[in-house]
Amino acid sequence: MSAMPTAPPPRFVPLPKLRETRLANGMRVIAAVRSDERSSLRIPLITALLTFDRGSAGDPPTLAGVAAMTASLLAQGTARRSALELGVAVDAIGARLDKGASFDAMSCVASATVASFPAAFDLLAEMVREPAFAGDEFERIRARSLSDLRLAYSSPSSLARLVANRAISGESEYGHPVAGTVASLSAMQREDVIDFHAHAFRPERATLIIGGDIAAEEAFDLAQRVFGDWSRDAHPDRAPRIATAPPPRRRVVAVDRPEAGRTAIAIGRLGIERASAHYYHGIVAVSALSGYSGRLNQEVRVKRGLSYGAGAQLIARRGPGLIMGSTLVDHKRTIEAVGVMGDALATLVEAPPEGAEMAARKAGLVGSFSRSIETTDGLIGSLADYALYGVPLDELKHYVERIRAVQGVDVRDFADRYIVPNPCIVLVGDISSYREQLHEISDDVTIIEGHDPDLDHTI
Amino acid sequence: MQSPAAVSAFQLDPLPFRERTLVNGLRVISLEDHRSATVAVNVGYRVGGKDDPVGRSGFAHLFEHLMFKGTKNSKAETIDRITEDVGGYNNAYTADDLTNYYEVIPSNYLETILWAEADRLASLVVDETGFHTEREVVIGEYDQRILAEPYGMLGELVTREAYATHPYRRGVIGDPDNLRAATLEDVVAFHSTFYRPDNATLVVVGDFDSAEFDGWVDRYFGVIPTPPAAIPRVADEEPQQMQERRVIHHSASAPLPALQYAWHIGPATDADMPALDLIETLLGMGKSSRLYRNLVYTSQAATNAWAGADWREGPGLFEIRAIASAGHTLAELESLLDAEIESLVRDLVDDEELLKAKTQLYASMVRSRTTYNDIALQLVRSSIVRGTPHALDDDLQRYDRVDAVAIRDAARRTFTVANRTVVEYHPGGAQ
Repeated sequence: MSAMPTAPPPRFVPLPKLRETRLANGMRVIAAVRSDERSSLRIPLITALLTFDRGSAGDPPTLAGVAAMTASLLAQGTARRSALELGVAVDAIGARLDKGASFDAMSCVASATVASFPAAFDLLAEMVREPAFAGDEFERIRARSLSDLRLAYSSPSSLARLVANRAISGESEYGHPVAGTVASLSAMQREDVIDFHAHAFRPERATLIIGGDIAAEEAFDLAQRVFGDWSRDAHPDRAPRIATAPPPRRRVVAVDRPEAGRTAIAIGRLGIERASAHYYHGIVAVSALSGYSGRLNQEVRVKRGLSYGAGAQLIARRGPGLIMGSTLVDHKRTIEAVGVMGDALATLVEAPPEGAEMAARKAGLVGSFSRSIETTDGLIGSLADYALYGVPLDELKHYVERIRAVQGVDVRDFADRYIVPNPCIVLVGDISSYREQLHEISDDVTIIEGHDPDLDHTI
Repeated sequence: MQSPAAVSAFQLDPLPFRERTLVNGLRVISLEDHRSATVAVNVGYRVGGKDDPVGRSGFAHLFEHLMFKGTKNSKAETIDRITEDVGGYNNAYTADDLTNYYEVIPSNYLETILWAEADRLASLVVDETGFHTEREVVIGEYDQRILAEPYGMLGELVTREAYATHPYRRGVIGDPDNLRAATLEDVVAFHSTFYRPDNATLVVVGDFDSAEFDGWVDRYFGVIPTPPAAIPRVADEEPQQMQERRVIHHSASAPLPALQYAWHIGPATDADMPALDLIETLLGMGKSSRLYRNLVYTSQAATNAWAGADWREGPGLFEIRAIASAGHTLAELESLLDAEIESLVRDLVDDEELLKAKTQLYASMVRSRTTYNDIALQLVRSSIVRGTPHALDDDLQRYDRVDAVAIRDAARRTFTVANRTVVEYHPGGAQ
């Protein structure tokens, strides 16, 4: 076999054309038109994403999960259709209707083939503008949400993330679980959901993005026809309270799960706002830790076989988000794995990525961004993120240069400030294997055993 | 049966791919498109869990991991370097019938990747250290996917019980003890037996020039020799099941009871395929589906319910799974599922519901073309499991021709008590 061939320069990628307008009621409308003239393969699909800039961060302090309940209930019937009738209407045209709550936004998506899209878009509007919020549907979703909580709590990895989020974010608007808790869901009333809908789902809070196999004018006409006459009575805004998270301190929170197959480890720390000047530094720093070749996976899996995989995430929000590394290990090797992960994180300060490693991480980010915006759903998702956080839409054109501008010293400073010092270490597993060694990790040890963690309050 | 307007809504041209076979037997499928500057490369081998050597359950999957360990011409993880490090990604998966390696990369790296895929087909090298490390990783994957997940054992229990003799009964993930018994000699033998050009399908979709691509394929793959020995093929037939099989399992980590049914069906080329896919859609796709409506919504006995036809090169399984809601029992789930099955066997589905299911399948076929790799993955699967990539060409027409009688007939042939395996999954630990 011959030697490995070298690659020629990259080929040109056309960026999508963006056009935008605003309806008289304040709704921002963006059309993302793909230039498909170079394609032999037409994909007759259109997607519309409607977001509102209020989310779970606006849940009342004792009612975690109101935003999520509101989102779930949107699909459970409208003024014109019962839940089952709505389901039949969506499936009969082969459409997909989705809805969800995050801390900072409520989102609804309609996706359908070209022929079915106008009907799907009508259903999206009906769901958003005329939800029934029927009492029996409220009880149904409450019961299902409680069941889902049990499933989430039975997975060590998902429980570790929830506990870490609470321990790190404290009493801030980001501390509670988006999905709520057993206590908050049990206390919630239908009126709480109606009230949330009235303040969050308003045209002046909305951004509508339409993309795929559709012309911009057609998208604008549809938006005007379906949402142009939407107005709502004044309703007091409940801007999310911006309480501060507690100052980070090095600590261990161990949740005993004797029946768990493995121990989930989450090492997290208070991170940055999406608008932070350090955002791209954080993206590059976390990418140096993540993926198969990332430093966490190299140390944890490739060199030591401690786990099937390890990685890190940067979660940036309107307020300070989180940075979290995670893995899943044999109970007996938990303490060792915590040490290995901590050392791997510290290498960002001791030896920040340079040269080939830095080039590879940046190429990975650019490539994954490019692949994402090549699909309609990925493109619309990026635009929605920009719109939500006040980033100009032409950030699409600048992403690549912003990533390329990040230097090793930026990564080092970022890690030194936001990743390495004073981490919160959450362990969920059979702690009998390592209870005696927890003090080796930190003097500040919290053990939760015999019951589920209370996520309504700070840990 | 359908209004002309409804029929004309189902328009989808067959995928415009080219197909050729090299002298050494390698099948090459390519689809040139320039919507973006990326390309998806898949190399599918017709070897999977069912071809595991005796006493080596899980070996095909372990072998998949070893294909990343370097060659005579390159170091371990070269594939990662020329995908991840240049802005692409790679992965691989092992199924019962096939092992597929794939990369999605900026299109200027296509020649490099073709070289690397040809290189690991022709000159893989595995040493003791790499072998032992990766074996531990695979056992860790078993722990994570099967032991640590609350319902991880469910699928394993079903296949183990439903297949009496066919090698499908061993599953893909296999048995950690069998893996611990595997040796480096097994690795060498497996590579020379199954990793050969006439057992492989190369699929490339995306931004390339077809003439240039053909030249690279000839240069890098065309020179790989084909061994003279015949490729061993699993020829086992699964004997007809004569009475219901039932497994009762107690799980320490499952918070709620679960119930799973599996019925034997034919291979992926079976004439009942379109009718059973439509039954899968009627039962399980969307909020209007029968399982959602009756088990999750109306009775609230299940938190979720799922139906799927698992089509294979050999005999497949039609499966239904439901996880109970808190306070509901397996007995309730069982009687609700039985009522659904009885209805399919007894009644003709009405026109409106059938048209809905066909519309849903059409929309999912359109969605399955969203990315270059989505397209490549289905071309590989169809080539190996259904024998030809052209099996995809007529799927839309095949579905469109199915009427209510065909659905009822397929249900009657499939959903008998004697033909089914039931797994009861109880929370509460081993007993």
